[in-house]
Order: sequence, then C-alpha cells, then structure tokens
Amino acid sequence: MATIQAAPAASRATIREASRPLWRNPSLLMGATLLAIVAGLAIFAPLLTPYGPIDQDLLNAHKPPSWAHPFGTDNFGRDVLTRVLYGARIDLMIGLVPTAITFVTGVLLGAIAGYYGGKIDTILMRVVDVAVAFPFIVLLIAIIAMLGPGLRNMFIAIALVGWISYARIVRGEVLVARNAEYVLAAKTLGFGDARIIFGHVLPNVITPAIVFFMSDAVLNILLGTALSFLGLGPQAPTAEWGRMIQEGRQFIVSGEWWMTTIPGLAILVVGVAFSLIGDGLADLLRVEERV
Amino acid sequence: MRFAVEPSEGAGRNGVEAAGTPLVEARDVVKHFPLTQGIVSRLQRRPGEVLKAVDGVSLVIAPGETVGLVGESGCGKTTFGRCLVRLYEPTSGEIRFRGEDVLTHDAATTRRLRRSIQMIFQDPYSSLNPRKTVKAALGEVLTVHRLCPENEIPARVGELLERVGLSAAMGDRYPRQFSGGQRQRIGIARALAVDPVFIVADEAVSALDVSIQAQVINLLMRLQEEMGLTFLFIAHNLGVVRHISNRVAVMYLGKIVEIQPASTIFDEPLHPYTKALVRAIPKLDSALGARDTVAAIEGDPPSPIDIPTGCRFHPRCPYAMPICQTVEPPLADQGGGQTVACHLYPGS
Repeated sequence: MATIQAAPAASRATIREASRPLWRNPSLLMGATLLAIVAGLAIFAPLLTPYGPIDQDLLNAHKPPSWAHPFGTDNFGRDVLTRVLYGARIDLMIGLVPTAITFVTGVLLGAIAGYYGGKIDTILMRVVDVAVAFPFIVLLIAIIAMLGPGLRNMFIAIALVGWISYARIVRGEVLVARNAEYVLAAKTLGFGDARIIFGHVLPNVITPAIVFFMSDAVLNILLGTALSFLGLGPQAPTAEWGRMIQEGRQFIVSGEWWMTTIPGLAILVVGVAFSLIGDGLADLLRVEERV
Repeated sequence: MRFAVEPSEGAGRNGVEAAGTPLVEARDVVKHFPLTQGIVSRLQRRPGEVLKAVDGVSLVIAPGETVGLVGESGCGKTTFGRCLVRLYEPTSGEIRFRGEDVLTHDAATTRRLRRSIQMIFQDPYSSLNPRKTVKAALGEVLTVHRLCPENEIPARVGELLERVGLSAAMGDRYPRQFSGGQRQRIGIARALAVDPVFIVADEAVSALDVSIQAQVINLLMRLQEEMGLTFLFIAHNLGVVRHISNRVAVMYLGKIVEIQPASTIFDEPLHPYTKALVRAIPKLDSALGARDTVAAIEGDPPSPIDIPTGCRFHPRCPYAMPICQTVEPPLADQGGGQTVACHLYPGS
C-alpha cells in the first residue's frame, strides 16, 4: 500500500503552536518576570541594603520614608525596606514549599483513588469529605495549636490539609481518563500500573492541577501571612510580611502607614505574579492540548 | 524475519474447519455488572440490581479464522471482547487460548498471554495517548516487553509503520496530526508490535468514513494473510462483517442466538433477529415490490437489567409462540455449520 501523507490539518496545528511562543503569552511573561524580580531581590537582599533585617536602631524608630530609609523605619528603628526584602525569602517559601508538598501528595493520592477506585477510593474520599467539612483556617489553627507556632509547623499544617483540593481535581479527571481507550490499550499491552498512571493517565490530566498550583501558591501566601499575623507563623524578630503588618497595625492610627502598607504591597505584587503565571500557563497548556 | 509465523501456527491457516485444537475457546462466559445502590435500598437490604451484559456466551475460534460478532449497541459484544483480552474479569465461565486458561492469576502467564491476544479499539481519536509521539508509543511497547534491543527500536518502529501503510518518517508526529484512518492504522501497528496471534477488533472501522473503512478492512485482511492472524471482528453492521469474516455470530442481549458461515448467513438467516438484521443491510437493487416479507424489528431491545423470560427476543419477535415466553431455546446445530437458538428449528 502506498504511503499516506499526513492530513493538511496536521500542518496547520503545528503552525498554530509555533506562532504562539512564550513572548506571545503576555500573562505568563509578565508574571514570570515579576516573580523573577522578587526572587532576585530576596536573594541579593544583603547586597541591596546596608541594614540587617533585625538590626534595631531605637534612636531612629518611627521614622517616615527618607533617603536613608526609603520605606521608613518601624517601632524598633528597623529599616522597613530591608525587612521587606528579607521577608520575601520567607514569604516566597511559604508560597512554594507547602504548595509543592500538597501538589505532589494530592496528585498522587487523587490519581491512586481515581485509578483503582473501590475501597481505596471510598476511604480516601471520605477523609476528604471530613476535612472539607471543617472550616479550612480553623483546622489549620487547631493543628498549629497542637504543634506549636513556627514556620515549620505552619508548613506541616498546610501540608496536612492542602492536598485535598489537588486530590479532588485529579481524581475527577482520572475517573474519566481511566476509561479512555488509550488507557485500556495500555492495559491490554500488559503495561504495569505505575507505567500507566505516570506515563499515560497523569500527563493527560495534570493540567488543571498545575494551573491550580499557581492560584494555590497565592492562597498559601495569603494564608501564611494571615497565620503569622495571628502570631502562628515565624516568631519575632523574623522579618515576614504578615508579621510586619501585625506589628505595624497599632501605629496606623498615629499615621505611620509605611509599616503596614509596604509589606501589604509586597504581598500584592507576589500574589499578582503567581496569578499571572497561572493564567498564562492555563492558556499555554490549553493550546498544547488541542488534540 | 520478525513477522514470520511461528512454526506451530503454520498449518491449516486459511481453513475455516475447526479441526484440530481451537485457538480460542470461550465457555459460558458471563459478565454481570452490579449496579450501585442508593443508601436507602442498601439499608433495606434489597437485592442489588445486576446488569447482565454478557449472559453465557460460548464461542470457539479456529486458528487463522475470522469470526464476525454482530448485534445491536448494548448487546454485550464489546463486553465479551473485553473479557477475551482480559480488560474485564468475567463473572463466571472459562476462556482458553491454545488450551491454556486465560483467566489465570499467574502474573507471568498473563503477561505472556497479553502478547498473544491484542485488541484494536473503536475510537481512533481516544485510543492513542495524545501526549506521546507515534514513535514513543510504539517504542514503549517494545521496551516493556523487551522485544528488541534499545538501538534497534527506531528501525522496528519504522517497520511497523510501513507494515500498516504509513511511512517511518511519520513517527515523530503526535496523534492529533493524523486523520482518523491514519490513527486507526497506528492503533493496528501498536497491537502488532507484540507479534500477537489473536486480535479482537472492537468496532475497528465503525468510527471511520465508508471509503476509509474499506481501506482498513483490506489492511486487516492483508495482515491476516501475511502474519497468520486470527480475528474476532466485532461490529454492529453486518455489511462490514460480510467481507472479512469466515463465520458470523449474532448476539442479542448478552447471548449468541446464531452462528453461521459468512457464506450462508446472508442468504439463509435462520433466527428471526438475524433475518431482521440481514434485511436492514442497505441494498442498491431492492425494488419496491421485492421487499422481504420479514417485518422489521420493532421497539428497543429490553433492558439487560431485566431480561425477558424464555427466549430473550420473544417480545420483539414476529414469530413468537407460547413456548418462547417460558423456555429459553439452546443453541442447536442445524447441520452445514449452522447453529441457532430458536424454537422454530428442531433441536431447540
């Protein structure tokens, strides 16, 4: 039989993808740039500022923005700019570390529950139902109350609760994909379960979870700052945005806005960066998925 | 020659005669799906409802033969095919391949049998993993079964693609870059990658355009000749089956109601259901006056959850007799390779 040429539709699909390189995806580009800038500032903080994040200078406390202290000083005379820069290290970690842990565990558990079904699925999903029945933040506070405050325990608390969303997203997708004929084909070809789950099912269902990862990173930063605002996160004198807002809160009435506004803006910028990346990724992966 | 027929397979390949050992033997295969119950009926301890997709199917397939399996949507033909390739675990019954128990729980045997028994799927758009290039998909099969050394995989993949009428250069593309017919060829190449003996083609051409259907059927027939394959060809369309099959089995509501050589079934359908199916094949030369006297089947098939008593076709059968409502007719040999399960014929 003569060789058959690929359908013209094929070449069109290729062109469409090629015509949408990274720079044509403004959300992703802007978000990634913003995040890279924040990360760069956090990493090079010691080179960018002459002060230390916990250096007190009580003679210069409560100073409004000036050339020496562009974002003013707090009630201990610590430079707010310096603390915001160093704080970025912790807050980016809050955005990424627990989110990464929950992503991996949630995706794995969701995939296993969805793929095998039966008892494993029932048990896992009942655990999810119970966890979802509690108000999220109350559950976190309860866990941290048991473990004691601090950054590590905050991560543990978020990791214990946060996987649920990923498990639900992925399980739903796997329930559909496991009956797709390419999965059945993999089974008849005698492929092992691990190969089928990781090589055939997950690559086709992971997109929504990746997109959710980005919004979840924002949520976790907000959550982390909220928890440390409540005193459950990293303890004083660590520079962390939520904690800075909490400490500056009592001076808002006396007009010392910089102690709270600057770390607040920092949270906003990082949040926007992650959201833009999430939007951009959703866009990018959708294009790729056009089958 | 990788495609060479195994020596034990060589003899009597083209024969329809079931003489000697059959390749595939299914005995009373039953597949019931329990339906999920609501919490209320579970608390009331009501017996669960069961969907009887396959309700006692026996079929013997000789080496080198192509058996067509036809029936309406929902009659259980796909479920039966999936039992044969062990995508489903039958509720009861026996499936033997070269006399060996297919339903064994021995992992090594299962793995070996998976190589011998393959499936071609219905939907060319969902049967290929959209994330893998053709080369990666076919190469994976070779790697998993260690069918050839790593450095020979590209050559072997190219060989497989050419065997199904595609070019080796197409291996770098993704499934979305192919047409439906081409995808179905890739699905066939994937099944061939393990050098199977028996292939269940589940509605393999139903989703394709008529002109492409013919190409794919010709490809399957050519492959059968070259590689000595045995096919179970599942379809809902008798016309397609006619061309490719040696024998045709007609399935209705989870049971086989008739088996006949393809050479006779279209002229001498015995079972009233088969008659209706044959009549439903569109003909170019059917003049208005020359209509068959058999009435078209009326109504929908009954629910496989609540199967009629007696002959399961009796509520729709134009020839239904009182006995049909109470006694289920067994498959009875009518001579000449014709077997039918109907009270209209002797032996039932």
